[in-house]
Parts: sequence; C-alpha cells; structure tokens
Amino acid sequence: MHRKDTGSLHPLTALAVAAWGLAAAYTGSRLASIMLGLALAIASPMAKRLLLLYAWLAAPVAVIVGMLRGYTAAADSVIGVLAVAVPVSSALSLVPPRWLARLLWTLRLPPMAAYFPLFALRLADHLGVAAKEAVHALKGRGVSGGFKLALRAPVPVVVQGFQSAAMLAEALYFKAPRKDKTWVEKPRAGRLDYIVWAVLAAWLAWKLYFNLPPIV
Amino acid sequence: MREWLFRLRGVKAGILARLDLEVPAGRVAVVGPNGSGKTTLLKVLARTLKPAEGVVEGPVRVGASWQNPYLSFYKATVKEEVEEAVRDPGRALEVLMEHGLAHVAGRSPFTLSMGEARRLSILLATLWRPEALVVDEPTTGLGPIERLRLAVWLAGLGIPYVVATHDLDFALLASDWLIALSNGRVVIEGPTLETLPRAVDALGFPEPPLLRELKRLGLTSGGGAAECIARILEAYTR
Repeated sequence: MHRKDTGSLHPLTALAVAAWGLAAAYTGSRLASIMLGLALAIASPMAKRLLLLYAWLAAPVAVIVGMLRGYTAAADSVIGVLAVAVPVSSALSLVPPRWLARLLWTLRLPPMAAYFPLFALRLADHLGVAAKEAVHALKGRGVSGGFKLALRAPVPVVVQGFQSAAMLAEALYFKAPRKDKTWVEKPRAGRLDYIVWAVLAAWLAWKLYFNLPPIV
Repeated sequence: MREWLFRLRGVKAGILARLDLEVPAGRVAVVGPNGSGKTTLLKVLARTLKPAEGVVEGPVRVGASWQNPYLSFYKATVKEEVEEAVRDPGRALEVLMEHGLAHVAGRSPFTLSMGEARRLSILLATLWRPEALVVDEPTTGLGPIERLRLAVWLAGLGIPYVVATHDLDFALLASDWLIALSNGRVVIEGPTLETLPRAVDALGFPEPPLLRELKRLGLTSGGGAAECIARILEAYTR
C-alpha cells in the first residue's frame, strides 16, 4: 500500500530545480533561484533545519569575505553560495528517499545512496547528544578547559558512533531480514510538482521575452 | 541532624520544580521511576546543569560517572587512562591492582565488559581527588553478582557519593541515606533501611528480593538488618 505524498516532490522535478540552482551560479538568476528554493524549504518538513543550515553556510562566508574584500563582495558571495545551496537542498529534502532510490536503481546506480542523507542526519543527531554526554563524562573525571575537552571528546564520540553503527546494522538485520523488502517505490508527480514546473516555465518565458539581466 | 554535603534551595532545572533538599555527606542513593528527575538532580550536583532558578551549595569539585561509562575514555589502554589521571606512570598499575582491574591494564577501555567499564569510569572520576562523587545508573547491564561487587567496591572508595539507581537492592546495599523522587519532587527521604519499605509503597515499585528476605527474617529495621547487609557485603569483599 502506498502512502499519499501530497507534500512530496518527484525526483525529476527536484533534479530540475537543483540543475536550475547550479546553472544560476554561472548564468545569473540567483535571486529567483533563492526565492524558489526558500519557498520549497518552507514547504519542507525539515524547514527549521534547512533555514539553520543556510544561516550556518551564509554567516562564515559573509564574515570572511567581508573582512577581506568588503561588504559588497560579501553580499555577492553569500548570494552565490545560497543560489546553489538553497534550491538543491530544499528540493532534495522534499523527495521521499524510496522515490530517489527507485530513480537511482533505474539509472543502475546503488539505490541505498538515496538513504545516505537520512542516515547522516540521524547520525548527526546521535553524535550531537553523544558529544554533549562525552563532555560531561570528561568533566566528571577532571578534564577541564575548552581546548583539552575539544581534543579528547571526539575520541569516545567516534568510537561510540562506530559501535552504534554496528549495533544498528545488527538490529536492522534481525528486524528486517527479508531480501525482498521494498526500499524503492515508483515516484508519482503531484500538485507541488505542477506548481514548480509552472514557476520554472513562467520564469524562463519571462526572462526570454524581456531579455532580463542575469541577476534576476 | 546530619551534616549536609549539598544543599539545594528552590532549584528549578528540567523536571525539578523548586526543589529544596539537603543531601547528607556519606553514601546516598536517589531512587525513582523513569523521568522522575534522578539524572537531572545528579547533573545539578555535578554542576554540569545550571539551574534556571535557585541555589546549589556544596562542593564544586565533583567527580561523575554517567550512564554510558565508555564516554569517559579516550586513551589507547586502561593503564594509560589511569596514568593520565594519577600523573605517575609507576603508580598506575598499583592503582589498577588495588581496584581489581590489573588484568585489563593492557586492553583498550572500549573493549571492556560493562562491569569493568563501569568500575574504570568510577575509578577515573575519583582519581582527580574530587570532594564528592555522583554515579548515574551504575547497575545497568550488570548481573546480580557484579551488582553486589560494585556496591562493595563503591562503598570502599572512601568518598561521599550520590548514586541514582532503579535497582532497589543496590540502593539497600550501597547507601545509608535514601531519597525517593517522583515527578521532580522528593516523595520521601531518610535512612535507607527505614525508608526503603515506605519508598517501595510510595512509588508503587515491586518489593526488591533483598528487602523481602530481610522482612522474612524480621530484620526490617534497626541493627539486625544493618548487620545482615554488612555480612552480605563482607562475604563479597572476600
């Protein structure tokens, strides 16, 4: 039985948006690309994380380029980074992994690669908690000072990460040992896809008709 | 009136709601169901969690061993862990022998059994000479004999400690003062032997086997029960 994915994006639509984002970095249209990406990010169930990710990406670029080359260059660099990051990440976050897995499988690529971002996010959550606990544990044995803690805390966290991965693999094996388990599902286009394609088509027609400068 | 080790006044942190509590110096156990605030209380005592409101008085140098003992380790071998803590390569093996861990001196701390890892984690928490020790759920993953041995070993460390546990038998063996928590509030507190039967009723916990046995022998309070527990501990010390 298929779950109804009303807020999901077809992998091809997501790839079109991602391609637009990548092309925008070279050909201009960066603000339009960011706007569409932001609209998709807000529609995504991971909206908060995505917005934090963009802030995390933009802040160091703004600071470093701002110090070296001034505010105008910093703003230009931030827009350049976000023009790629925002549409690519927000579009891909709206594709159910099993749809992406199906696409990869069709392209004769390993379908499990579609689950890697999901695993990375889960691992990031786990490692975040473990890092905090490790700092508490090291403080409890008398290790003090930010530098000492920063140097030592990654060791138990990484070891724990590997141990958790081994336990998780074993648990998954016994939870779902069937070889015929469905990891892939045929993607279906929905309302959100039609909206995104309409926006892309409208923007392209508008840009061609008015011969607008690249930044728009 | 007992001398207190920690004093909490109006402490608000996590589930703990305006907690007023005096923790005596000695062997103290905190019991309570999941989510009752045991770990939060220990974090407040260890100064790893700053209360939103209220005052915590007591030692600042507090050793701690948390639920996952493996997170305390970062060296390649057990001996190196202890060497780092005592800052004397010659004394590390001596310390390990003293605490029954010499047989694992050359092993990676991450490959130790849960019981050995727990003891090493607690040992490391005491080696920097803290004024008090907090230990969170030390019996998780331990068998009945290992729990008894841990209680004996912990009691022999000679440092005041507060241990949070679900294991009421362990609390009976490893503490002489009991604090029962529920929903971030102290339900009952007092000398362990007298308080535990009431805590069992108040928290709705099943009666622990050791308490049941003491009751059967008519030793629920006074010197008889203390002597009985002392004999159990002594038997496992040998």
